[in-house]
Amino acid sequence: MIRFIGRRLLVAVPVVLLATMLLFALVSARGDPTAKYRNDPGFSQQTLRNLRHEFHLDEPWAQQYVDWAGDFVQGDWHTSFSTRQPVSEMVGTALWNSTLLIGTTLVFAVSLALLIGVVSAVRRYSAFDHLATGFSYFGFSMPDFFFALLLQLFVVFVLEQALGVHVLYVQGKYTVGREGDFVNLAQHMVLPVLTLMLTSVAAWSRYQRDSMLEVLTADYVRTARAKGVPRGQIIRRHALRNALVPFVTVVAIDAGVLLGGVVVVESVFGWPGMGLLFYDALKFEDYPVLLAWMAVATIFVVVANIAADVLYGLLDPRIRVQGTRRSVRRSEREAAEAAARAAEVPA
Amino acid sequence: MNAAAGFGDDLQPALQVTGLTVEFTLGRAVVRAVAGASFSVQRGETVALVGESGSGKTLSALAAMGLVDPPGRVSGAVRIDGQAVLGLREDEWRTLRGRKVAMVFQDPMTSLNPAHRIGRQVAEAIRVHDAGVSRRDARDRAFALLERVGIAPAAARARDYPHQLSGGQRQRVMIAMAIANQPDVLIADEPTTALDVTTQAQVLDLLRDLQREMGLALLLITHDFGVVAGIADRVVVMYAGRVVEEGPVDAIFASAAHPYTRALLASVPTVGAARGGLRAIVGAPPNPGEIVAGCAFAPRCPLAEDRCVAQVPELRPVAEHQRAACVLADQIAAGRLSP
Amino acid sequence: MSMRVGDESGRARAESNDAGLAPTATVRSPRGGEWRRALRSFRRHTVAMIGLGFLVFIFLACFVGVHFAPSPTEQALLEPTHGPSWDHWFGTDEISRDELSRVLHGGQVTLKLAVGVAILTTVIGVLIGAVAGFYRGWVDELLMRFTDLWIALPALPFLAVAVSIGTVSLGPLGSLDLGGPLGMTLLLSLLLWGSIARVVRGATLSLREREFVDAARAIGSTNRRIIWRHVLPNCLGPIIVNATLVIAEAILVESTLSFLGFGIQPPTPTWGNLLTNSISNIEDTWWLVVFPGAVIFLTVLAVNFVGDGLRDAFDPRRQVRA
Repeated sequence: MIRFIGRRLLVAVPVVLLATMLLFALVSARGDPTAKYRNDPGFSQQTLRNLRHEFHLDEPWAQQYVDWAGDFVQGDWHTSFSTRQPVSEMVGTALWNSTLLIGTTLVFAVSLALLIGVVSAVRRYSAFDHLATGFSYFGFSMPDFFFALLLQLFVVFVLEQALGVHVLYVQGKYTVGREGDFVNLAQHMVLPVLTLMLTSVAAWSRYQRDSMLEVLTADYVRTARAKGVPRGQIIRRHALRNALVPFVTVVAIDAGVLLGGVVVVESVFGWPGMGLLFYDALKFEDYPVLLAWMAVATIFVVVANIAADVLYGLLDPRIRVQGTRRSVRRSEREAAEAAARAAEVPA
Repeated sequence: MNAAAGFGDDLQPALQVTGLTVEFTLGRAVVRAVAGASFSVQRGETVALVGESGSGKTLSALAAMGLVDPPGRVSGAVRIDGQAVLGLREDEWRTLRGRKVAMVFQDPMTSLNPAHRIGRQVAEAIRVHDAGVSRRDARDRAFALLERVGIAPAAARARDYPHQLSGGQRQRVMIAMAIANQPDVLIADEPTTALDVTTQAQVLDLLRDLQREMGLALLLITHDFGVVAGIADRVVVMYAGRVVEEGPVDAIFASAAHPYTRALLASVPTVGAARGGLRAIVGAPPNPGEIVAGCAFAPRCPLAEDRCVAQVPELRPVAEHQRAACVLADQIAAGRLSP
Repeated sequence: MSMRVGDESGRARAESNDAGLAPTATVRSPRGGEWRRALRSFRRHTVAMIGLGFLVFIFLACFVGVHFAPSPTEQALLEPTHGPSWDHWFGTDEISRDELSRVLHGGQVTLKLAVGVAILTTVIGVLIGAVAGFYRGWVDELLMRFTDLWIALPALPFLAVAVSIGTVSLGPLGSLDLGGPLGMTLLLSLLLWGSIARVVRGATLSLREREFVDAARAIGSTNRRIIWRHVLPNCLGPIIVNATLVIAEAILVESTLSFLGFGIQPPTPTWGNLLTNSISNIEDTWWLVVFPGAVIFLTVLAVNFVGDGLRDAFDPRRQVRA
């Protein structure tokens, strides 16, 4: 198992390098980041020269990348152009805030998706199943920004103006003066989490349903029935246990994708996380923040992918005990071919 | 039709199937996969259920376990130890499956849960029918079963996952699960098809030993006459959902009465036979959805006459304990006619 | 890349991993009379037909009906910004332009872009998928690892940064505004081909083993010919289904990007940037959010319905509903 993780990590390093190189190229292609400050009274010529020197802007592209990468790895992430704060601090806070959001979303979304998916599969074509399917379509056709805005509209017009209920907040993380208040935090988190959950649950529950349906018709489920295992146990210990494997992989991969979704949600709700950080950085061309953001995001996605593989390995004993997915697939293919050949023998 | 009470036997068969019909309604079409099949298996007897794929043999077995789900509809009668089982509720079935009647499936790789260790899967078969058994007892009994089927050292191998075992070993595990609760009837659906020849022999030996030891009624489904010769006492031949011949294995091999059975036997290549090429049976069995007039084998039968197409032939006695569904059965059995 | 959680692409990746625990679907594609059967099956799929009907309606509205609506730039300066009225079904925006016509014009841009993306991603995806599936071995491994990662990367930030590069010069081909409709189409296509590649690769892998490939090789066909004439036609079913889903994805990605201000900029209207200004003053002009947003939602929903109908039509296993 350790070897398995180790190998994935090894592969991850060049991936992160390549991705950051690509992103660096993209950002550099936008031109000289100090150009727009040339006429800005807040920046003296000397300051500009210092900046250009600090960021090695006079050097060739590749050299710039190496310099930047070297700095980044050593922890020197420079200072933001816009806020003059150390970038590492900004990213640190933002990362924590987004993790809060994504973490909460994951917990609720996974539970809900599993529940809906399993029940839909077990009670196929029932009213619940049809409702769940409808909900899924609703969920993955709905643009998240639209849903976010709708929620805001709902809170403002329906809850507050019509019903006088002031419980949920549509902006920010804390009400000014109430930092650290858990309830206040929760009140601010409800809407963003709901928005993030919508697409997640819609997609995952559907996937889980499909997964369960395939597993429920598997041969080993038939064997369990033939042994006399009660239905509940079959669903839990045989079907779900095996259906969890692809589900978990999908969730882990999607966790990386959530980082993109978070950009929208945080921008609309003003949540001070990685999404809003990106939004501001790109809008105001805050070069150092942008680069650091890119690197962190790439690492996050790569880690999520590795986590997916690791989880997969943990849950599927064939990987855990045998080592690589490829070898398992090959041996399975051979076994299947042997069986097929045998079955074709004429009577 | 007063069918398979076992000719002249007063003993009640462990498994008795009478007029079994399995139909599937797909849209507007009704597919009849099994049409009025009847056979029985006594305790201590091995009956081979033989036929090509699509003959309805597997479905008959599944029906005997109550494992045919909608859109499939099962009618007729199945008795296990005298108890009528078709139409039982699911929870009633659950007390029978794995306890009175057990089944071993064809492909052991996919029939075992890939995520559970084999020891646990065998123990599950025990614990499901013995609510009060302790974990340790169940585990010990599982070990004993594994050793009995030839998987040793049991304690070590019980911790293995199915993919770590060979095909033959997996099939032994399936057998261990099936006999865990001393069933009266054991149904084995092509248990050796996915195995190589040497392992085949070992598994068949195991089945035979177990049967002798436990007095099982063994229903062995196969398309391989080599297997039949090795282990069966009686043979039931199915074609297009119907039983076309049944009888003691020696009689069938020596003087089969149905053209289809003869053709099947003839098509098995034998070492040392004249090199005349493989003798396949011309044509193909009817699709399960097709409704065939008269004898289903007639289109392919070299001896077919007009009356074969007019009416479905009934199973008629041809010799002591042997019956065939062919109007020409007597003559074929006597060797006066040859397909 | 995946824009959204639960993309087909993500699922496709997971499906290709779990060879044993959850088997992959059979590959079959209509030939001759089977196209007719697929068509019949699709027609019977109520929900898909409703979706199709709506899409036809939307296309007609945006490309034909638009000529009957007031100009999107004309400002009704005498009236203050207001919500839905008889003259302005969707209301007017902050500078008193008719919102309905803005939506319709925006639709032209968004829809053309989406269809363009679908076509381009199909081309790219088929290329990569067919090569990977056909040649197998390390080529397959390399391409698929790359595809996996490509799918997993979040599209939004990458796209936003790429678009912000602005105009690039393509040498003799002139210049390309990455933030314009054509540029966006290209960029989106470069990012969204993953799911089609996976599907084509899977189909190619299994089809490759079939007898007609051996037969073709036996009579001396080159690999390229085999792929083009034998393998690909049989993948058409899944390709079409995925291309449809790419349309939905493209609409969503483009509108999200434009909404944030990182995509196509005003004055070119797209469905997304019609909502951009609503982030701050949503309470005053709710109709500027609800109407364009609803149009996006309903269109994507319709595309998903159609995609579902197509999937059922092409998958022989799903046709029988017990």
